[in-house]
Amino acid sequence: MKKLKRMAAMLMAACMMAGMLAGCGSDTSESAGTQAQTTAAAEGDSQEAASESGETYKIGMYQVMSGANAIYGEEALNALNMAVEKMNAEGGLNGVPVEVVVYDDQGSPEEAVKAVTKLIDVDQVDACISSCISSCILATAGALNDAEIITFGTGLSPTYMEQGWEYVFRACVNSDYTAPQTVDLAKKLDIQTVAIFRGQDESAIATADTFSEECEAQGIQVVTEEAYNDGDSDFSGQITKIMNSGADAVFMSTVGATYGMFIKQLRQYGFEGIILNKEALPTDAVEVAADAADYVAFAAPYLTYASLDECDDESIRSFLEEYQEEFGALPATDCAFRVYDSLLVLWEGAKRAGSNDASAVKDAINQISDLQGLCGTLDFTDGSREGIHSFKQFIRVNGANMLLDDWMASDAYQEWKQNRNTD
Amino acid sequence: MFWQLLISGLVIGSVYGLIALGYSLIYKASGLMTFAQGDLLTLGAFLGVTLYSGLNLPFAVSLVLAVLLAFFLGMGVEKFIIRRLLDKKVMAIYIVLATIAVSYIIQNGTMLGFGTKTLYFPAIFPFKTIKIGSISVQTESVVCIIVAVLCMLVLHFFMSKTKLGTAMRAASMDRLAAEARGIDVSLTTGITWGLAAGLAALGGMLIGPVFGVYTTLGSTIGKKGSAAAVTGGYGNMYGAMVGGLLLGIVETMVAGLWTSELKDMISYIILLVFLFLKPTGLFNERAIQD
Amino acid sequence: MNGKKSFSRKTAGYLLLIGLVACLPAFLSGFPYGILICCFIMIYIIAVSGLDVVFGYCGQISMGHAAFFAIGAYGSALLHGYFDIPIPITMLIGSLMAGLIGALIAWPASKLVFHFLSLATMAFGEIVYQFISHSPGNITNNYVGYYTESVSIFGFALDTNLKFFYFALICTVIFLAAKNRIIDSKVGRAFIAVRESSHAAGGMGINVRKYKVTAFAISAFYTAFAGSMYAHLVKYISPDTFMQKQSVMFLTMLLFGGTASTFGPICGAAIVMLLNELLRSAERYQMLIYGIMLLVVIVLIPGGIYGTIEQKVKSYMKKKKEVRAGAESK
Repeated sequence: MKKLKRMAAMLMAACMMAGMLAGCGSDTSESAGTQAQTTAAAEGDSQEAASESGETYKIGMYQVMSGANAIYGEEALNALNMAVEKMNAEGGLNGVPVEVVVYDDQGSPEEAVKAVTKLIDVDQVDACISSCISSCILATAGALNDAEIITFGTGLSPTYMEQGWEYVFRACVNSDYTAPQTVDLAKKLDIQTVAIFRGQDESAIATADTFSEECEAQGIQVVTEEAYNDGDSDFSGQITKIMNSGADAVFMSTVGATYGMFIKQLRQYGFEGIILNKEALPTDAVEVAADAADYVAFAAPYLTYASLDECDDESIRSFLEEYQEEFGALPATDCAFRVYDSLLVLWEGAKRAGSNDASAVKDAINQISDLQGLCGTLDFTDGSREGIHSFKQFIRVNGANMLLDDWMASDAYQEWKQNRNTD
Repeated sequence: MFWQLLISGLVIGSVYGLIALGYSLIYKASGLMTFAQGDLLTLGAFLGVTLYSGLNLPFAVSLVLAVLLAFFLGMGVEKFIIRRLLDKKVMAIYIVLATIAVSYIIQNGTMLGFGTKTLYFPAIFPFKTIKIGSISVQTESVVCIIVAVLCMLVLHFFMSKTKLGTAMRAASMDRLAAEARGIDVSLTTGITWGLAAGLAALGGMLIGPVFGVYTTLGSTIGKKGSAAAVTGGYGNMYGAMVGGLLLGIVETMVAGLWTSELKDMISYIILLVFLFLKPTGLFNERAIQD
Repeated sequence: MNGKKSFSRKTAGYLLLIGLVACLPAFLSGFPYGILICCFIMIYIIAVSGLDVVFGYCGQISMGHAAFFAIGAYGSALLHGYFDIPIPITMLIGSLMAGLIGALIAWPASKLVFHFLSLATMAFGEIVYQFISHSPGNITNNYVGYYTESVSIFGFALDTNLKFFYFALICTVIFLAAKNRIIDSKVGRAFIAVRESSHAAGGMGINVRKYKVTAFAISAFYTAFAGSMYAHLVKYISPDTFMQKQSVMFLTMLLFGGTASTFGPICGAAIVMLLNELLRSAERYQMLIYGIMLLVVIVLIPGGIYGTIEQKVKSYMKKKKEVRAGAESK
């Protein structure tokens, strides 16, 4: 028995060693090479070193690619691949070919920490696209910043940009910036009272909080705030409360599949007011909600499209055409836009810096003031490291998104208003 | 408001109950526990939406096909996984772990196979909502309650009155003795697992039009369903349904009358207290194992 | 005489193993990722060993051990954050707290069996998860997550993964040695008696409830300590880490390795963790492949990897002994 234990112990040790070496051995040799390259890059002659040694510029990404929000990760990955293909077709970043490394963080901070450590340490990425789940960014972006890796957040929460990480940028919406726009939209539509329906993740709460503060400042009363748990599919309790609060409008701060189910159930209970949203509705949610999705209003830089015909924005249209050709369908969420814009910024930054050195690219990005992205103009000159500052107000009427001002100028609006008053 | 919440609670509760029936059936007929019911529900919904709106089959045909497919999948799981483990006489917990692995596979398999988008399940009935007093309820939800209650009655009758049901119960009590009496234990447990999977798929088909179809549709419902089964008394068909309805009502009431933020915490505290006070469930079902 | 000799052999075996693990960083020098993974493995070894005490030895299922993991992590981080107590002490206080809560919850739970117990522990896990994400007065910073610092012993900060590695190694050795001590004692034998048959154990005069509660308390202490290590390694905790899937992960590791042994949890934690890391490059297919591999291993070698190896070795030794005995008798 004792002998057996000892043998087993030895066996275990052997197993563990073998596992470790198998797991890491191949990577070690590879990383040694990259390390040499990075030091060379730091000395300022990255271009020469790169073309001589056949090195590549590595862009890492960790996204949620399984579980409830997998759609965001999938579309982010597609957009990343498209953008990188384009970069490489035009000679890469300052002549250095670009390579992509992607990991699934499963929406969990622990997995994100492991994935990011691997990205920094084993893959030695030069730039990184962060998760769209904000707790994952909060757990990891500090490490990326310390490693001086240019990082782009793809989550909408304001929190992670408030940590003072100077290598962390964002080329998508900050929900703090859209909140005043959404409230302004509500004012235009003469909304007096609003109910908030939100998820319980960091981003959803932060968005709801800013919105309710902004409402208070603008004289709109928040009558109730209801929450749901991840994985819930029935919201009767919350909706009953919202209906009883007599709110004119409902503000949603949720994600993914919840949109469609909630809107549908809300309308089923007879809610006829405006539904405010923090971003453009994903197209799959619109399909589930069908005509219940009418009169959803939001402020955003871009829309999502169920078909190419709906799209009248030149640059987004050409992006979507390519996307559809390559992946067979249009993206349902705007996550593809977020990632694509991030890469445009990185590209422009590297072009301006004239080198791929992280600190030079960082400084160059802070100088960008007029880059045309899918979202319109990206401007980083105010030092906030946020790219998007201007938004449009949209409302969904009769199955199509339109500009709020256009709708309010039309007869349809007068008709709608009259119907509301007679009710 | 109270009546509205009550009806909403009954609707979601009947879905929990339908899932709980599957758990109870498997426990009653084989003394085992599974964690895959929720994901089988998801799979059923995906199969349903593919057959119904993808292949344009009539609803009844796609329902039968989806349930049949799930039935055979359930039998397959029993034959190739559960039976093998049982033959090796492992601890029951390994079977639980195996079903957890199956649920991972279904969840990620559906994601890769059917995509990450939420699929739209077209309405089954021409009239969308039914008015009960001043409350409007989606037609599918009402159908869900009716189907759930029907399933409960049929299963209870099946388990206690028919020959096959009796054989199943015998097989779970004493396998050796049952075999000696000429019962094909392997077949009866296979049928049980198939039936449970079929029930889950049926549930998926019914709630698909209400919630839309996505890969994590069933994971929370599955968890709540198992809570419902235990509350009612694991292995008791009436208990499963009553447990499900109770859980649905408590949850909706807490969210509607008190706090939606803490509704899960409060539901679970109630459940825990209930378990401590009445460990055998509402219907006093005795646990087979100690 | 003989006993003493084999004891020293056994000790030598253990020491050799510890020495080998201690040398690991030499192979991984300049490779913080590998060392980080080793740190995680050791954290999980302690947590899973804790689960092994209550499940493997005492036979009580728990589907809510993530709760204790959370209590340890938040307990330690918050005590340090709000009262500025040095971290190794907060880790101990946090774990003791978890032990106490474990005992409290086990007291009424001890009359529940299998399904009912698994549901009760699951509900408990869910309650703790809800509590840390809706804490009174926002003390845990709820869903935003809580930043904390690295462990520092008498002013010596364990701020790199390598330093933490040795700290974790020492903790792991202490905890595993303590576990062996407990299992070899009267208490451990009582656990096993309860597992085999609680009725028989009761009949023999063993206070079944007392031992079930003890097992839960010890188990909670172990897992909570691992949780506090986690908190100070990652230096950021948020409720997402402590959901039910974490409890399932502990159970998976334990069953994968093999229950009721010292090496089962080690084996399970190391292999499951390495498997997950190796599969990382599979991106979207990671979880599917993980599920399939899990299923295949369970079906082919139920009883866990270490359990099966142990059995194979045992039968081989027996055969060899028989052959030798046969030869001698000739």
